[in-house]
Amino acid sequence: MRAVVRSLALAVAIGMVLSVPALTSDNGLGFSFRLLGPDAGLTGRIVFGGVDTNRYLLETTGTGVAMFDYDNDGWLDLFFVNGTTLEGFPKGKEPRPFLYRNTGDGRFEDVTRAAGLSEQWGWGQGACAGDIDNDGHTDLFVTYYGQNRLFRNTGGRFEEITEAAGLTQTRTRWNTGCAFVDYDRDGRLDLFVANYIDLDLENAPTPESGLCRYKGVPVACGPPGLTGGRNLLYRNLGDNRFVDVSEQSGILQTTSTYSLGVATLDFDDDGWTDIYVANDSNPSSLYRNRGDGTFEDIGIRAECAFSQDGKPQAGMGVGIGDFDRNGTLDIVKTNFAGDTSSLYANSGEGFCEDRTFDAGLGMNTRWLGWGAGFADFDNDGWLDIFLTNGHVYPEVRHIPTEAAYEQRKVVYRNTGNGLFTDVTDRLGAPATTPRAGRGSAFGDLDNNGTVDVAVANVHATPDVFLTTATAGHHWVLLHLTGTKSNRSAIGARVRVVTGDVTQIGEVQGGGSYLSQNDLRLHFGLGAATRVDRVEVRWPNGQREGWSGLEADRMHRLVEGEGTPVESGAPAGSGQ
Amino acid sequence: MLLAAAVLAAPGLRAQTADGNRAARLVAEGLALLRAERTAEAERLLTEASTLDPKNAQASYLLGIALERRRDLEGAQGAYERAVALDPELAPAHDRLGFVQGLLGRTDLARASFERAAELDPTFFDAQYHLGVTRWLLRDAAGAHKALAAAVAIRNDHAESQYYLGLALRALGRLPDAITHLRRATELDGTLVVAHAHLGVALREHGDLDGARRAAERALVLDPARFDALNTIGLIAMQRGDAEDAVSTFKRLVDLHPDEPTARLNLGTALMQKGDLAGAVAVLRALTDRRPEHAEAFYNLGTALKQQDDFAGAETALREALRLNPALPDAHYTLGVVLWQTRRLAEAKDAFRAATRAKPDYAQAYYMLGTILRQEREYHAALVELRRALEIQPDMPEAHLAIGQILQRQGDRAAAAKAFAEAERLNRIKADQQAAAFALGVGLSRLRDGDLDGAVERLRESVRLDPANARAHLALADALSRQGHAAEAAKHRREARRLDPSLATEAP
Repeated sequence: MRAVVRSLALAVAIGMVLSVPALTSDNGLGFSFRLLGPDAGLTGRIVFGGVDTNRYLLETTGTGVAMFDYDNDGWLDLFFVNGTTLEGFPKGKEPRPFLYRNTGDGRFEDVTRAAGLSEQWGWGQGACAGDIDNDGHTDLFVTYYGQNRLFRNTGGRFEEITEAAGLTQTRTRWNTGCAFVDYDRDGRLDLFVANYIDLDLENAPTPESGLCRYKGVPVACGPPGLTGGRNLLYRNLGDNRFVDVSEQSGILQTTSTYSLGVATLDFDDDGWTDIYVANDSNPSSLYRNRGDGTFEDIGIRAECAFSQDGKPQAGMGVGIGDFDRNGTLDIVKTNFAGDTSSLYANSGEGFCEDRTFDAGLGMNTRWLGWGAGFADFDNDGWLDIFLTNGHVYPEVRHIPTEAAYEQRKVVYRNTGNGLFTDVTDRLGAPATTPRAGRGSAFGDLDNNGTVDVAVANVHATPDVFLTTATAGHHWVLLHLTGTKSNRSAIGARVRVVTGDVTQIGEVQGGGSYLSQNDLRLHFGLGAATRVDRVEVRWPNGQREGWSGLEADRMHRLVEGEGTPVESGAPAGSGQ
Repeated sequence: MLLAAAVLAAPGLRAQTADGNRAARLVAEGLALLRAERTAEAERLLTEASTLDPKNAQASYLLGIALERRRDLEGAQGAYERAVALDPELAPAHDRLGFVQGLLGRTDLARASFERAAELDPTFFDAQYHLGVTRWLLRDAAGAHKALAAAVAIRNDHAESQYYLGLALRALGRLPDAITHLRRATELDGTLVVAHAHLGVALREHGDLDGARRAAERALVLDPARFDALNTIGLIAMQRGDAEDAVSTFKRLVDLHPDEPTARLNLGTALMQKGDLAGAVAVLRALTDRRPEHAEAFYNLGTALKQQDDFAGAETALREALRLNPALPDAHYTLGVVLWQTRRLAEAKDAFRAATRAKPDYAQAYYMLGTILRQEREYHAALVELRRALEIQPDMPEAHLAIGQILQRQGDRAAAAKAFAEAERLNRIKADQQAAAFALGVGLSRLRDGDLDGAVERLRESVRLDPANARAHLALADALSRQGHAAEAAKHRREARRLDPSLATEAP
């Protein structure tokens, strides 16, 4: 058997990590967080509407963050979307986004201008990344209330190709989450764009109307009562051109609206990538890819749409992962305050099993969640949960309540028996430090084998939660590269076998809240010092395997360089 | 009980003996003295008449009135009893006997006396009115309604009977009719503070918050410390989401009525609405300390603690509420939710079952029971509970949805699809109603700002989304009138009146 394992020259083992001294934490959890902020070069302030009061919901939703390696130096970089205010700014003073180059030594360098991304402003929302032209450089899409923008990466510099790509919108739309996805398996990344509200600022009511209150305080109105937006699907025609296929693909055939967070996943493991969307005040959508170029929203039928007691929730962000190691991709979703987050276990039979209360997530209802992700922080082989919180309305600062505008994170540790434990207090700061968090992206920024978290805050500089694993567990990081499939390998399903433990993962478009997670896949291996076998089902359906991968390394798996695997061997069925 | 004027009927004279003749003359003189408010002289003559002619029912009846006037209630009762014993068909005597029995706290006896009086003379206003009020005091709303409706039919200019009829109708859930009679009571007697106060209560319950506030404010002009009027204003503020105003109103209510637990209870609720959970818990803990027997206070405390994610504290408070009053369905229900959220499914099911025992039409409790059973894959049992919920409340989309999900898992795709479709239809209606309410609010706001075109556009949208919303029709009628579209305005005004007769005279 040909077992090609191509370790990157720059693949790093533990020790070759950022030079920032690691703090050892005796919290007994096997991991801790350390905050990187302005001192590490993350100095750009996110501007988003009024600081103390908001007239429209537009000012409340904040922005996302994309975590991707724009310059192919092996270190994940960070792109933070920026917004604006209703009043606007003088020419030349407009808030701009921030592209931070990860210098690999614990610092980030603002390269926005050099990379050609500084000349964009407006009500930026989310970002997603993927190699749309399969040239080896990850491209960037940024959503707006207004015109979205597509940036082609020409090799460390970006050029805007929105108009040429056919992505010009003829009216003002409130585009939010986005995800690249090769829905037709033609090897080219297509693009899904969620839409929130058809917001007409000229006619939308304001808090002064007295119509909209939260805890007695007049606040921005909506979304109930406002006309919902309709999601979009663009097919990649090649040559950097896209065409709107929302109608013929069935994306518009849904009763749900007010869409925010988006993530791709192959929910039914049929090899065709599906799309999950968190909808505000509406049932969530699960667009099942029927494999014929069309989708069907099966969210309600598949029981992945409502709360455990059958009510629509205010969905915000989405995390995808196999938390129960049953070989299927599960969903965690953040919701409004006064509600729990939602945890849906994928039964493997086409249904979501709501495990919110069973798993112990019923204990937190105070926080208002945005960013969400599964991540194995302690590398024990069980996916934990990280939730970014912060209230929608800055006016809640006037309310004497614990869950104010700035809120702490919530981190649940997976105890491996179907239960999660809230370990936020044990983690302490920065997890317990209140911030008005919004988008969050997950990935290994310092290549030390742990999943870090980048968080976009409203009216503040961003935060990076740098994770240190202290339990001595092992890990592996897999960087998939498609050759026939899309080069970013979005949609690739990976099965990692160590001894009698099998884990799965999938390269995902979008994720969390208006954000893009690391396109590489991280697996905690516990005590295992090597991976017995890795099987990849590429987005085009071809299967390949690799054997005997060393732990504590990043491995690049290139399509066509593995050992072909007979079809029929499922990617899942772990334990 | 409200006092009505005593009936001084002129009883017919009988053929008499000499003593009887003298007694009859004394009765006639006694009656004249009573009419002249010369009660002491009347009593002396009527006592003498009763002695001369012990079988003279009229003498006993009128003596009863004289004694009643000087507050000798026991004496009056004896006289009336003698009168009805001597002449069992003397309706006024039965009525007065009932009245005195009522004053003496013998309410059941009073009801029987009034019933006899009303039976003897169904057109006897006092008897019907007193019977209605007594039945109301005995919590017999249906019986009260019957008698008071008869009273009002006999005499429609009596404010108190209109008021009590309004109370009875409200208790029977006939709010629009209740509002009509309470409003009539206030029109007949502008100083009848209870009528203004209860009109406010009824209008609030009916959703007419502006009207409710006006009525409550009128009551407060008459009686600035009036509890139910101030309470209504606080509740209106809560309904409008103006928690700040609600909190300050209930704080004032607590100051005015420090021993009234409802004031503190509502203050706690308003603080919860405001998001001041710590404040709410403090108020409610203080209330439970002062009134450790107050089950509702423990229930609200449990609710506040639950909102603080203090599930253990919530459970303790809710269990105490139920120890004090096991018949509190909402406490059972909330305890069920707490137990469900903390993964104690068996106990949660017990709590929801207890909720349905305490309130057999508690659709949401059956639904939650069904939900847990579905979670446990006890599909047959779950279907039973979910269908029971729908029998009580057919427009519960989540129950249709849950049934669809079970049927789907059981392989009955056709039935599942039908259930899903119904859930979707109901959810759509709810969403449309929500959007209609929002459009109505925007429309009214624009109307206030003088943007007639903008108002009409939004109000038309509201009517389109929810054609059964009387207020939207009325507001649209008002806007169209101002635009000069009289015919279309009249059409919407008629529709508003048809949908809700109580709105007929209300301006938008």
